Amino acid sequence: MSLGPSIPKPDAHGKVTGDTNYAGDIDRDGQLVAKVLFTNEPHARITRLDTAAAELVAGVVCVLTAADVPVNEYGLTMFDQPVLIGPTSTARSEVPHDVSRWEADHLAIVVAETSAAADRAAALIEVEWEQLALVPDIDAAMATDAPLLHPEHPAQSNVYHHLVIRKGDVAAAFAEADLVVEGTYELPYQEHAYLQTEAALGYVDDEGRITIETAGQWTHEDREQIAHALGLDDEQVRVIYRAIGGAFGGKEDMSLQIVVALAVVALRDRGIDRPVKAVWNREESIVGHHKRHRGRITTRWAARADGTILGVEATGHLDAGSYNYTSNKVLGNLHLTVAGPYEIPNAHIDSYAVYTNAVPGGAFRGFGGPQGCFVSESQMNKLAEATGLDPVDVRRRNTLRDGSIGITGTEMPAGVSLPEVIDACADAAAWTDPLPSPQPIAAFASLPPSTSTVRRGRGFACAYKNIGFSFGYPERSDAEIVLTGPDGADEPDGAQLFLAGADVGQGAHTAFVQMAAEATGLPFDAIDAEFSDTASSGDSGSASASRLSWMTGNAILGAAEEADKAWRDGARPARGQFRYTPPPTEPLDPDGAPSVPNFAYGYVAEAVDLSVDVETGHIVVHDVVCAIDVGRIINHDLVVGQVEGAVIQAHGYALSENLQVVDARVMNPRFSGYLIPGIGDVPDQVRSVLLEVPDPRGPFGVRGMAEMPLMPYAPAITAALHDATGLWFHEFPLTPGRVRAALRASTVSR
Amino acid sequence: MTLTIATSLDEVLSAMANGARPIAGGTDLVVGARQGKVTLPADLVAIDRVTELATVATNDGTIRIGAGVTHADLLTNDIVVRQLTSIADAAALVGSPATRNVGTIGGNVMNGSPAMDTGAPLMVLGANAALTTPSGTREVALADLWTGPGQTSANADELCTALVLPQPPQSSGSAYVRLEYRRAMEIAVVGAAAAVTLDGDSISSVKVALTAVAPTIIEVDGLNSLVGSPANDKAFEAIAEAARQQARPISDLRASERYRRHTIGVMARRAAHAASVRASGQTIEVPVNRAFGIGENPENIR
Ligand SMILES: Cc1cc2nc3c(=O)[nH]c(=O)nc-3n(C[C@H](O)[C@H](O)[C@H](O)COP(=O)(O)OP(=O)(O)OC[C@H]3O[C@@H](n4cnc5c(N)ncnc54)[C@H](O)[C@@H]3O)c2cc1C
Repeated sequence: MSLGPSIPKPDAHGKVTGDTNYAGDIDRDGQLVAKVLFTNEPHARITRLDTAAAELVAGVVCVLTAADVPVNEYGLTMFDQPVLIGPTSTARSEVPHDVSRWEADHLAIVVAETSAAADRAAALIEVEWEQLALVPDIDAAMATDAPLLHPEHPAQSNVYHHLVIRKGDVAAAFAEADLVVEGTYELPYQEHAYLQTEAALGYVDDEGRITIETAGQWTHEDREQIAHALGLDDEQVRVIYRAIGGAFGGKEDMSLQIVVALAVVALRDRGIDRPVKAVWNREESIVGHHKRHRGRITTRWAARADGTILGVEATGHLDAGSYNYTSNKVLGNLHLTVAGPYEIPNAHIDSYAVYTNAVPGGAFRGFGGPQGCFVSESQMNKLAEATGLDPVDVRRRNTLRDGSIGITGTEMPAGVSLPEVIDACADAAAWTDPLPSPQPIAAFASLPPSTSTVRRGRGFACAYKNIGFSFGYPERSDAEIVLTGPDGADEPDGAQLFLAGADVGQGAHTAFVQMAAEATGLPFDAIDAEFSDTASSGDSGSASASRLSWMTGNAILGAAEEADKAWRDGARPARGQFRYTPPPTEPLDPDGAPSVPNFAYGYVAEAVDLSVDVETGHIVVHDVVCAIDVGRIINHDLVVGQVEGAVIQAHGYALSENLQVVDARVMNPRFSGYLIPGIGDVPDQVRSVLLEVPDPRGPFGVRGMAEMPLMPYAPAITAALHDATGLWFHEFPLTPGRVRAALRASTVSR
Repeated sequence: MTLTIATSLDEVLSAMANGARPIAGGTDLVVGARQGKVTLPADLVAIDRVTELATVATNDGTIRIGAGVTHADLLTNDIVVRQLTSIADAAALVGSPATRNVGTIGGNVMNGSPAMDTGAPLMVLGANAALTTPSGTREVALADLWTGPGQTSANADELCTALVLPQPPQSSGSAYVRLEYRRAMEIAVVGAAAAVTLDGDSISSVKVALTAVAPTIIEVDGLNSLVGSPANDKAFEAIAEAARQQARPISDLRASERYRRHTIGVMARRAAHAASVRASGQTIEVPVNRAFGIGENPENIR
């Protein structure tokens, strides 16, 4: 009853009218300003740091350096990053703290009355550096004489993480093959470009907890990392999320949380009971947080003339940048997706994460999947060309289905709906009908549409993506439901829901309440929810990996059942707490033997129709069909919002977002130079085709769906561009300059 | 630091005589200062409330566009849209509605960026800048005004009061075409303006100027040889070739030298074609902003 309809997000009105407070909007009485100074050194050893002059600036309260950090290390999956770089630091850290490995490494925190005073003080901090050999990219990192960037890592190599798949007999597959398709693919960075830049407000709460109000993706993990660096117990730290203006994976790692918490502790220790706030401007945000990984993948596929894939060989490198962030995990997803959602009897796959001095790579919607998918789908489209088969038919021939053995050598979790998804996409796109002849386009605003230098084409791609953290991570999700009703009532008339799961703008909180309403049989408006405060809710895990509705939905179902039991037992109010634990998964075998890395997947296919101006290289996308199995629709408009949002984010990734990193420095850290699409640039239409093939283990049949539509878009675009011009692109974004250069090198255009 | 909010031309001129720098919409000045590209002058005089600077008037074969006329006004002004269409084309492309509502033609011209959008149209339409001090006004051709990126030959105490243009003859048309990567909130990668006057089917005058391919906006030389020839693809291709040859583009983060050199030819050809279509009496609407379907309705023009 509460599932399916497009209930408007209760938070929408406040966000549209500006009423909603984001962490950066909140000002408390007596609040101080914290400014984080970046080292601005991609690779250098600090030899001197003197803050004396800075501390004398009027209005400065304190200047904190590495010497003030109790445990000078942090990291979401590995502690490989110092909180502050400095010549002296606490001994309780493995990672050398006197080397800046990233231009945005943090050097000092200035706490002051005003940001002007903080800026003046920051300029007076004296620092001396000894330059170290720069490792700007993967090639430099793998050179024999490359400096070791993380001597503390057991790998003792910049190539610090390696995953393998060894399945069947690849040599035999290539020997038997009628044809081989191959390619080396260069994958670009992508910036998250969330509207809300990083911000954190810190203070000591009534119960003495170091409290941080911020925007993130996982309250409890933020708390754990803050507590670790501060040398505190988790319970001594509290994390509250205010409204979050987008995250996309970019707020999974620490930005200002630890440094502001450090400032809170320093103030408390000085007997100063005042809140402190830090906000990054756009340049600080773009320079200061991780990106979607760039990387290079070389692959060969062996196939029969009828299009059946016999074997896949692939070697991929991701540029992890200066610190791991989640690179080791992102690599896992690249690893599983690089051979595509197909039955691959023989595979030999090596994936590597490589430390460099460039901006760290990390979580970003799709988490390695978009990179893997670009490779697999480009290969698939080339296979279609090589065999003369239709791109949809060749996928139908190879697609995973229920009972298929997946790339890691074990049976796919039940509910493999890709065959239906492919058919639904092809049908909606009228794939077998001939493409209408050129449609007039205006490559840019100043000319009316014309067809004179225009070519048109269409392309197809599909993808699968795991749901959840995978690879043996002990997943869990807590929820609490309290049923209430008037004295003597037989049935409850209201419920409270306590849950940590972050609403990063995707509408998770709306979906949670809908699911709680459904699970309790109460109306939507009868649910009173409290979210995202570690003081009042258990751990939900992160808003990432397309996992949140799936995991919290199961937790909500469990909590509702417990609460209902308590109610039947006469408890008033009736409290139900539940911790959902999903089916266990396994880490990949170090030698590539079979393993079960995941308990669920989502499936998607996309068809695009575009035109290209061959004189200038500009691309206009007319139509996108995205068919996706969401298992069960919780809120129709929110699902469509995720599809359209993902497609548009992918549109920027594929076409215009061109982060330029030169000598390990981001050259275009502004939206005037890093071009996300505007409303005039996005596809003319995006059609969402939603399938509801239940995930047998998802709550109400739900599948995760928020990342999947981003994945097939870039390879669908290059396929359409190939259809239009006959050229394959192994690199993107497809900026007009890049497209034009390829056209010039060919015979397509004068 | 001081800020004088002037309401009359005299106030502006005396503040400038005392060393103040003018600020109109502030969309270059303030943004540049925030980004650390320029330091905000210590003394500023705001000129946006000086109504005498904000008018477009025709007088005796001359059109005067006040320096304080905003882009939003340019692209809906009847005189500009009908007679100086390429300026409306350019104004329509500037930034966003917010930028167009406060940004001015005087600020665009005096900021001196080689990527400014109104510069090439003004040049092909033969505009002079009227530069005024308390002791008088002189008129400077734009080719003499712009001396380098962000540099002009104007003296610090000279206010640009207007852009002064000859009224185009009958059978004239002009167009501005900009290559951008995004349809709004963008800067020209390259751009070209053309002004064409026809005598029947043949060209009686043609001028082309180029955006973002040299340290300043430049006019393409040597097009007089096309006078008398038909306004056809052959002529447009000759214009494209001249543009490619005379451009001196650089490679930067936004585009390679090679891409700019190639596309400046494409832009020049498309601009010349569009200007000829307009000169022949056909309409090509001003693109405000074509991507959003705004401005294609003639009722928006007042
Ligand atoms: C988001 C954004 C997008 C933009 N997009 C574009 C674009 O697409 N195309 C484009 O060409 N520009 C663009 N610009 C730049 C800018 O908006 C224009 O150049 C605008 O016309 C500047 O006018 P202004 O009145 O704001 O100038 P101001 O910033 O007020 O002044 C600019 C300079 O000119 C001087 N000045 C101003 N008026 C006079 C005068 N009358 N006499 C003497 N000196 C004067 C000032 O002292 C200052 O040095 C963009 C800017 C922004 C912020």
